[in-house]
Amino acid sequence: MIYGLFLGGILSAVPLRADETANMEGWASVARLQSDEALRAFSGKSREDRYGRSVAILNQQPRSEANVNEAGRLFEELVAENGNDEIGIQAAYQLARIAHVQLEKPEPALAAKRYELLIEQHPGHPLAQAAAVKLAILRLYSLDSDSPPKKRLEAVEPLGAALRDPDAIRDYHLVLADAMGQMGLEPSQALRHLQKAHATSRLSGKLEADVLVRISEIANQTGDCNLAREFAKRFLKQFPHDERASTLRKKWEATP
Amino acid sequence: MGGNTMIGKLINRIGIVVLALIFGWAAWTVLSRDSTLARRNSEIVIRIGHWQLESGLRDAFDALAKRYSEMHPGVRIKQEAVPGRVYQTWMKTGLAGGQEPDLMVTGQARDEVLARHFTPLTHEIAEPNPYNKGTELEGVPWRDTFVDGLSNSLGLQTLQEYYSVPIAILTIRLYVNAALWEKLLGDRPLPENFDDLIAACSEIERKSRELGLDIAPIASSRFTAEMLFSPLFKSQTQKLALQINKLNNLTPPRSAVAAAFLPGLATLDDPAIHDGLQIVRDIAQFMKPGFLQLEREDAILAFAQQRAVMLPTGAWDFLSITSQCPFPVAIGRIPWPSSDHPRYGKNILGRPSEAGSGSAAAFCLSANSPHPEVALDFLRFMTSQPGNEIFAQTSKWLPAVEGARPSETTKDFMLDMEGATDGFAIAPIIYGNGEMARIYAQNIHRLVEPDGGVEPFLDSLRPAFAQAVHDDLQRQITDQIVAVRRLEGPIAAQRMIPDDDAKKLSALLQAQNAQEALSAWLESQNKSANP
Repeated sequence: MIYGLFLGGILSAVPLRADETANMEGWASVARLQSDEALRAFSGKSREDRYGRSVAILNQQPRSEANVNEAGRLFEELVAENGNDEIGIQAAYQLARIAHVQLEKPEPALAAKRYELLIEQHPGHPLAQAAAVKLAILRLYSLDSDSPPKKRLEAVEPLGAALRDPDAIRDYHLVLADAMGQMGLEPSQALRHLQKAHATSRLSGKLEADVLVRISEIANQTGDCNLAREFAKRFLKQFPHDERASTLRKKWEATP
Repeated sequence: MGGNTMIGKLINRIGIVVLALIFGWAAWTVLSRDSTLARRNSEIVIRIGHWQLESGLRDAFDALAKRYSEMHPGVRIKQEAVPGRVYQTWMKTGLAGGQEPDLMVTGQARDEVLARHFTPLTHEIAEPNPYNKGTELEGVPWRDTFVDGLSNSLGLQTLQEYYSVPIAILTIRLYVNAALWEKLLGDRPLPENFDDLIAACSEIERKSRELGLDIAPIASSRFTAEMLFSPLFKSQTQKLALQINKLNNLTPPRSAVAAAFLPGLATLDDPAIHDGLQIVRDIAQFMKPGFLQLEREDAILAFAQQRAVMLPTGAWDFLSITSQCPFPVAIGRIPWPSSDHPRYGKNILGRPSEAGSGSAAAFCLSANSPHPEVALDFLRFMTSQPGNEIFAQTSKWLPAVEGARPSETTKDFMLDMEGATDGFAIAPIIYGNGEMARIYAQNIHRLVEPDGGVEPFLDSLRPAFAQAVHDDLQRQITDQIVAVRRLEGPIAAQRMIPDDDAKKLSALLQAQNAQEALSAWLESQNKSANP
């Protein structure tokens, strides 16, 4: 009997491992933009399989509104079954994304509602935090776009207070810094947000180079030469091959 | 009877010996053939595909292949050089059939193509290149050994992965027939600034007429004209580019110039735009009538046949040109207006830095390669300091790797990392995309023809310009939304894959949010400019 239990345990573990392996293969295929392979891998009935299939359908090429709607229907099913487990939260986020960017005719008001619900129901979850950044973009540019820039910025500022996820904090401040620049507001306001984005230590690549340059340039314009020099030197150390390096070197390397 | 038996035995023994010899010979033949086949079957062949048919390139790859095979017996590098006009078709067919080379140049491959068919090198480029051992690059991450820091690697801005590695850098210079220059201009130095260039062109025309020769100052074609028009126009918008930059990031509008013409930013009436058009017209007066209909090869032929003194083109043409020119060729920079030029000086910041530009022949590693480790190793070798030097010295192209020495004959093409930030042009007159490029190229003759001018050109551009800006912006917005959507899957996947490297998800989110915010802002601006 013990032997039978032992054997049963081993045998029951095999399908689980196969399932997990298939799911990892499925997600790896999704990451490589290989939707057809992902659909083959997500063949099971688990919530994760169904979620994976829905994501693969959503991203299948050639893109079609029918696929987007089908994926939406599947995400809605997952949320209706259980909106509070990991899959349910992921599916809720995807539904907001469908309304925001996936439909040929986006529905910004619906997207905002879905983001707000996610933030309200699961405030600390990374996806709710990510949703706050997306909601900021909607409020700044798509919703109530006739209202003055300052009013739109005021509508967005409270979103930042609840953020704890470093990537969300970084991107929230970058979105605001860009909006302030493009809307022609005082550069010092954008500077504050750029510094907060930098303080997350999550910037990377060309965007990081951009932020360092922007902090240096704006600090210079607003008279904070020490800050300007500090960030120019950081930029020169990290991005010596950048086309802007020579300009900043000439400006600052002569100074102590 | 006894004698017959002895002869019989002897014959039998001889027969046995002959049979044994024949068998031995046959066995030896079969065994030796099998071992040759075995050797060839065990040989690893790495195929590399590219379209660089310019003089010297195939020789350069052959030299690299030879050196690598000497270091790695049992590995053979096979080069597949395919003409540019059929390369994309050849590439797509290869990818579809799983028959693509191990390493290949892909051009500007789309993200789906990169993600599906090629292996990202993000982890590998963070490690030192072992072939840099013994050089000053020993121990330096492979990525940081490149002159451009791999900032232009395919897939980097969107998928947050490095998919390609360049083997060369290319720049544009002014080729000068030194003998003809001396004949017509004496010991006058090569033009250092725009005024020098105009003066030299005028003098060449005058002297040519005086001597009864038909020699043009500049070898002209639409392509070579663009080599001069673009930098000269951009010289006039250097300061304007900074003024309209609301983000203070010192980056001029580049692939998305339409955004520069949003309300409140640049307009066709800006003095800098007028000056940019005028400087183009100034130099166009020294180009052969009808040059807009001529091809690059026509200009090269005119230069080689000594019917023109100067030829603006890139390092990629160096071997082709010098191999057919029976005269010494001097290389100079494209002349730039000086800051004290009475009209053009006020707009400039100075000659722009060439940092980060010009990477070429960027190879990707096929995800289907039967020998990915060996292919990657060869790629490392090609882009090590010693390997890249072999390439540069043989091809006369410029090395992409720090410290790799170019050929003595092409050192004047090396990147000049010092300089100001660049300006922007309205559009190119060749190889442009979008509506602004279409109407600009279509009407350029009104600017450059002898009886043309800035105002007639702008008059022809204005009616369609606002719509062209709107259409190009809409295209850019659409492209960015596609990029945003494309990242949704990888982001969802990264959240589900237990991964030691959380940086990947972080970088994907950063890229997506930046693109999404930019496209949302552009859309809001495009709508309000065109309600």
